[in-house]
Amino acid sequence: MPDSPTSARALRLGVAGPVGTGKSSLIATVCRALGEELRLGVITNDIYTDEDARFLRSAGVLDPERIRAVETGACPHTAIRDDITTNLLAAEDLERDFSPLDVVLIESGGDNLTATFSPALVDAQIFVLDVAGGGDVARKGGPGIGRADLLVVNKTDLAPYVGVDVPQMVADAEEAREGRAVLALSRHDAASIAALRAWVLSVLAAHRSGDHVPQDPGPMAPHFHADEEHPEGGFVHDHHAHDHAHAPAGVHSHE
Amino acid sequence: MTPDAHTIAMLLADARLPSGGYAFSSGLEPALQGGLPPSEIRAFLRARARTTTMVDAATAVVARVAGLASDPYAPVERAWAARTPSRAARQSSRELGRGLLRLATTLWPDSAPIAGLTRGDGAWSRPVVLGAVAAHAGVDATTLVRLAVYDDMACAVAALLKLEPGDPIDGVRLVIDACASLDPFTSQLAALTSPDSIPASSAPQSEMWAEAHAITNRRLFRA
Repeated sequence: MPDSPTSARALRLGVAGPVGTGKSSLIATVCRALGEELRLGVITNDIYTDEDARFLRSAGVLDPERIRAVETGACPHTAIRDDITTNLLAAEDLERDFSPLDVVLIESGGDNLTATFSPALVDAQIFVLDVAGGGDVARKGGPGIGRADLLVVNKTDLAPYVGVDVPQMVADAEEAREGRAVLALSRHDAASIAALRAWVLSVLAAHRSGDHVPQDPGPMAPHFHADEEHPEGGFVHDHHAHDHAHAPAGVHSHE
Repeated sequence: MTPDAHTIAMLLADARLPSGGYAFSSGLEPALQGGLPPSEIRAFLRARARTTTMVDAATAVVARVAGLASDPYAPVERAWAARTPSRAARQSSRELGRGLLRLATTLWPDSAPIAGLTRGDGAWSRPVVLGAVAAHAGVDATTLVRLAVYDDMACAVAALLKLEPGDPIDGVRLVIDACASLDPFTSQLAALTSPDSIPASSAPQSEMWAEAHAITNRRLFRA
């Protein structure tokens, strides 16, 4: 659990998704869109040392001192889920060194569809897919696609070149997510960036008011609950119906 | 509730313990990048066991004594640092120590031996933190030596499976062999009590590799 009252420290926002889908680029976009009004920090998780941190520093979107790299020993999923020690220490250091911060963005190392953040590390998370990875990926589901707080379908400007039907891919994603927020994003599409910006601000507002509760999108098998009043009864459920109430204008949500 | 000290020892030896160890290779990646032929890994591990690992195991034992006596840990840390000439090696050990200390203070906030490390803002090497945890949990000195040695060797071999993939069972053989090579020293190491008595057996070639590795931008492991 977070080690201080939730609203008293920065919102920790995770960004996960497969390699090459545009996680670093999305963080750069958030920094450009919100860097003037919010105090931001960034932590990158790399397989090879600090490649992503150097990309973001060279992008000039944030004071380079506010971008820190965590090395993951070739285990990017471990660093954000099974053993979050190094990331927590990095987040605490960043929050201490630049106190007060509004948002700390934590970028996962690129991994597969099962890599999601521990709710003990981040308050909310974005899972990033891109159209170039194939229009069918969103249908495959998985904990990140299904239950991250926001699913981004990135690089929509490339859709005509890779033969992907963006509205269909978004519809597939919405179905896999049972109505949770999906955003079709291109860094060349100002309206989509405005929607991303609004989503981040809405999550920050929910975090500060204490309304936002970190969710664990990790796999949980359907399980049985006994019903004490009807000993022969009980019910099975699978934790799919968590409440994700933040869906500002421009982000598709069917809640 | 705290289980028997043997259970805590097993917990501390478990690679799944969430304290940040998975990103380290016990100097093996630095060695391979520095030109160590994969055929020499067994010899490398034995040499590390006899030098760096032995210093760390002895440091943990002496830190445990300090923890049990409520003595300051700083002289132990200084003695360890004096025997660990590579700045990169000191830094990586202190990163590991910080991760382990975070775990220990979260699990045992009221422990006096562990609290002795959280006053002030000192950085503590992994063996000093390990010694403090042993003092708290009642892990005996002999077990602590074996734990320190096993952990260092198992860490290297876990990394080996990513650096030079082979039959994982061959890796287990390497761990068993390297740990057995230090068994003749276990009782001597376990009997140490003062910082001055920590053996000063350094490994200059490994330390050079560690320094070079720390400034490369192509590596899988932190150290």
